[in-house]
Amino acid sequence: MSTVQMSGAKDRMRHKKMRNQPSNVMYSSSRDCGNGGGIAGGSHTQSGGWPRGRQDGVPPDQALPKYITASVFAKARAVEVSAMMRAVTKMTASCHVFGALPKHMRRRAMSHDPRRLPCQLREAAHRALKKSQQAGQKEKKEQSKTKSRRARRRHGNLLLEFNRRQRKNKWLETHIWHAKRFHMLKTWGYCLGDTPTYKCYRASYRAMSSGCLLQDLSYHCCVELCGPEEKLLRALSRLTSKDTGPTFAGALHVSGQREGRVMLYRPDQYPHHPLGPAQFLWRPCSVPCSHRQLWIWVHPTLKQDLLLELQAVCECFVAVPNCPASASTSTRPASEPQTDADLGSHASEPQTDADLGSHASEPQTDADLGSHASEPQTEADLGSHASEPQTEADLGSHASEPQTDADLGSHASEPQTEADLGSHASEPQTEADLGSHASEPQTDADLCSHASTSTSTRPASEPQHPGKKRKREVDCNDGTSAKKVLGDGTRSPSTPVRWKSSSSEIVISDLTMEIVRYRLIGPLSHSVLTDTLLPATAVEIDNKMAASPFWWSEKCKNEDFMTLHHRQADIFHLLRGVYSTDELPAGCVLGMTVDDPRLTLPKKRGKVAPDLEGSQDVDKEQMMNLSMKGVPAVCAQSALWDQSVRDNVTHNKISEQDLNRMKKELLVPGSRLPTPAQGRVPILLVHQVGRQQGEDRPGWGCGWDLLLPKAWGMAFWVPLVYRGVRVGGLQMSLKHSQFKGVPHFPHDYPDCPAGAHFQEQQAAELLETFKRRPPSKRTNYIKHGSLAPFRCPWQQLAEEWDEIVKQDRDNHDNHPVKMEGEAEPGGPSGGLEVGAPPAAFTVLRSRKVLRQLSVWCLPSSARAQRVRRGSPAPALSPVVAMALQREWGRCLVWVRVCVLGKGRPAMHTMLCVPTAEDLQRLRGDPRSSGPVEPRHRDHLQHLLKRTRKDRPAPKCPGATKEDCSPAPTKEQAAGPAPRGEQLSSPSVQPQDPTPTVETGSVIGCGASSVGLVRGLWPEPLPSVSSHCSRVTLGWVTQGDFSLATGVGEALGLVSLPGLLHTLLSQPADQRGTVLLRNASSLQYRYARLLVET
Amino acid sequence: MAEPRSPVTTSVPQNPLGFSPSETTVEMDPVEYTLRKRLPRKLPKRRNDVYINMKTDFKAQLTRCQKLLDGSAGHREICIHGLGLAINRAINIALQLQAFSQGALQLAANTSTVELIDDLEPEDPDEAGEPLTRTRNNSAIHIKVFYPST
Repeated sequence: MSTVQMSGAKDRMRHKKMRNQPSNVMYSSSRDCGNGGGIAGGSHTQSGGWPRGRQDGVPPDQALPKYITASVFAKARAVEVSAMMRAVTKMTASCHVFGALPKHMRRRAMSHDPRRLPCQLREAAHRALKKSQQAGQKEKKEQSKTKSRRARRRHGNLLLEFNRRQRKNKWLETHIWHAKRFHMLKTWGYCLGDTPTYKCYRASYRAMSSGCLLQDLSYHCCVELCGPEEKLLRALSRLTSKDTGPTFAGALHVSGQREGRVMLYRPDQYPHHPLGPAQFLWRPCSVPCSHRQLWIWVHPTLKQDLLLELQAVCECFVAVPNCPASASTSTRPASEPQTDADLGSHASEPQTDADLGSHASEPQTDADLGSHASEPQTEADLGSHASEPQTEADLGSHASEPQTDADLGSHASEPQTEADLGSHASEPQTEADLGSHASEPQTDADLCSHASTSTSTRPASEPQHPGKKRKREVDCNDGTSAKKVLGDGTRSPSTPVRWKSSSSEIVISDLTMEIVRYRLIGPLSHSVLTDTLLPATAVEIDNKMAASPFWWSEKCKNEDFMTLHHRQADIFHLLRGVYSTDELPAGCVLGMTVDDPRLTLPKKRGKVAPDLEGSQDVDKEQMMNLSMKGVPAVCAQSALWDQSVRDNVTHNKISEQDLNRMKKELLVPGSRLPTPAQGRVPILLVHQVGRQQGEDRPGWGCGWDLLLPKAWGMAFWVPLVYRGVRVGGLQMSLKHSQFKGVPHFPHDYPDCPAGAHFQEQQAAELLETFKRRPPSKRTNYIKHGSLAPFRCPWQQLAEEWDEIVKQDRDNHDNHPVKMEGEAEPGGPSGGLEVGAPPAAFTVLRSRKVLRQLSVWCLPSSARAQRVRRGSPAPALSPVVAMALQREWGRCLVWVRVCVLGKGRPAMHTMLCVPTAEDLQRLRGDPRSSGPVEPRHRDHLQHLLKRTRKDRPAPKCPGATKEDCSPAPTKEQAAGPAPRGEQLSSPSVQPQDPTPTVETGSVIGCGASSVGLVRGLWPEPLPSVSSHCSRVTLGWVTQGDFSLATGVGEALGLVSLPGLLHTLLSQPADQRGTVLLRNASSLQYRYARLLVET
Repeated sequence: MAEPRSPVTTSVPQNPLGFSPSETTVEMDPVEYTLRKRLPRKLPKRRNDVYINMKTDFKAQLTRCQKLLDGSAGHREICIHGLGLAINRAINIALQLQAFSQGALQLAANTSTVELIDDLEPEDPDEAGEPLTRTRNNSAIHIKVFYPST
């Protein structure tokens, strides 16, 4: 061993020595060069290794030449000597200049100071140094793109960076606050907080049930409809149905007193083609007035669909680019009678914004003036943030013109910011301009050109208002710290946001991201609100301040408004006396104007307790009135509905910096700042109803929604957080609806397009995480008998149950006596093969049917009480069930499932029908843990192995069939219990098609076995309902251990025919008992199924 | 649900509002409206207030009261409140406490009337049917259980 090492070491040494051997010196053993190289060749070094002695077997007498020619010999040696000299002078170790020095003369400091080198080397060292510096500069140039941290954190650069980062997924106003504390999720075009990074699951639950939990729901989209009431109602009634509950036309809702919830469908398509749930709010009108305003709040995934449908039903196809036709209407309070006339006049000129440069000279529009004055600064900001370098150039080149005009040209991409600018058509000259352009097409690009042309043609009007112009410039200069302008995650910036109808007077506008919406959940949320918000203090009416730019001082002059404000403030004070938020009627709305909450920010974060001592002086009578009748409709009015006020407030917000400066300059440090003139914000408070359905925990999870104008998000968020609320993310809102027992929008609406899309996405994600595990560590779902662990094939389930019931019915017709002979499998008609028209499944939302179902699902003991309470329902009988099935054939029913003993249902848990024996066992032992599914055999495993072995070889289907043939036989062998049950109940017929289906599917996958994933069923699934020993009814969409009830709870969907079938076959005292089985477990658990209405 | 856990259960929710079918049928057509009972107005709660309900196990509530009286909390007096159907149980608990204490505890009972609010939602959500609200009274008992000051 040592010899081997030695030789290796020798080799290396030799290589090192020979490294600088000049190549022109040849050491060849051949004698080709005569006797010139004779001696050199004698060493025979080319054979590798150090030859000692004569190992090459060359006879010595031949090696030595007889004579030497001197000239040849000398020449050869001369070459060698010169090569040796070159090798000696050449630097060895490194390419540094001082490598030429002998080692003992080298110094470390030479590398950076060439003066330490000997003279003859200095020149070279200088050259090398320069070279290396140049190379370094190249690298540095690349680095310089990322500036220093200090530069990057400079305000303007930071905003630029932020805008770049939210180009794809928009940020909410609380984004930075959230990003520091939450795991962010990029969904639906937004960056949203998912879960906090700290542990707070249980604490958040506690906050919801006894404290207050805060959520930012600003990503929900608001769509505004304006128009005559009857027309709106007629149009909207096509989207909803009375069957599902109150519609847009509910009396309390129309008055504006309550917020309503509806389920939207495609026009006239009920009960098919649902869109999704929505919340809506009418603007209350003090004077009876036909022109109304309506806000519809929907989830962002739903918005595009909804907008299209709304445009269709309202016949609003004329896109109003960028133009606030109805903004002008909303600038005036709805109580003014001339609103309609205004609307008409403006509606005919969609391009009013061409006269941006015009200035309001009328006193009535003074309120808008403020917003105008500050408009340019945001515009300027916008330009720079949108990372368009030419904006600055534009600004420079158009220096002689008002800057708004210059901006307009370059801002085709952000149309909505100029929303209120066009509201003044007071100048005849601009009117003329308008007329000339009115007939042209109205795309955004056009608008741009219009704006620029009108600017160029209209400079004459500028000198008329030199004072104003100067003021604007001043504003522009100090307005660098303006808030960031947020876009919208659900539409491209160039799409129009406003549509109007040519026939009816309806105007649709998209107010996404215009209004901030926070949700406070929990019984103390009203206490948090009363603590945080203070009704706005009135401004002394001073005649000198006639033309105040702030909306509040204008409003203060209006006596009606002030009396209303005082009434609202009184009601708000009453809220202090309320102990729990759920004492108020569901959905009541309170409009308010409040002071800037940053002024009353507490010094330390604390907890809010209900202030009951303070409530003693509250009038009992009023209190009762409030909790009985809610907030009167008049008090639901808020200035938040006016776009002009919203914009005014948004643009006049005092920046945090200014506020802090003002605080610093206070005479008494720490005292409260006097409210600055622009510190009044209109808000809307909307009560959110708690748990209404079901028997236990009524009113759980109620709360308030707080609606704010844009840009005020953080100003309210931090004071709320300082009142000791917990903040929850998306995960917590899912849990909230789970504890509340209501479906959560995209997750639990598989029949809506958004829900279907969500499920696909979720399935892909789950599959991805599944595949990331090593194959031997994956759950083998085939062995567990879980066909679709990552998604729920609802359509297939609905169709299968439809078929089962149909067969049943046929059998009934054949044997009118009773279904005893049905155990005989009904023949070759498999549940899948029937080519029925593929009617899409829907979720049952008819309240009448649901109410019936909820009574039927209860066991007889509980039902007795329900009936006594006086809701007469037809008793469950095969006839009634049949009628229902005929009407709602492919329907799913939303159910809540409570586990009876142990067990924690997870996502995509199966809901199965217990057999008669199972029910017997449950009756005998209420704590029994439930039956166990026999382990299935993974017949695809062989297939997978074979695929891996001989992938190139084509597969013969015969072999595949042989492979899988044990599976069906095992299937039959595994289910002696189901067989027994087969005889007792007719629900088993689908079991017999199983073998055929399986073979078919296996053959199918044999053909395309490349896509096989170990442990998962390949795509054409066999019969989902009858795959296991217990018949599958449906699946769970969300399930977890419920902190509220202390046992596992789940929400899911079951097939309606299946449910009826099950209920009919169960004894009366055990109705509604089902079995749950997780996808990765073989254990069934008993559970109670409830349909809640 | 809590059925398997508590042997004594009724479907009456947390607040034992009792039954009032007669009222419902007399005043309005039961088919037209759905009755939703709101929770009773909550009262300020000190540490030694116990609100008795019909949902929690009787024994659990009894031990809770017992612990309040003699645990480390050591309250000299506790208040037991019962509303409607739970009046019976509240009295029961108070008497049991007294019996266990071998006469050391004394009781002082008060009755009162609590106003409750019901919401009536129309089944047919037409413009005509307006959601109604009505009040209804229910009896309540407040028992003070205390050690008499010697």
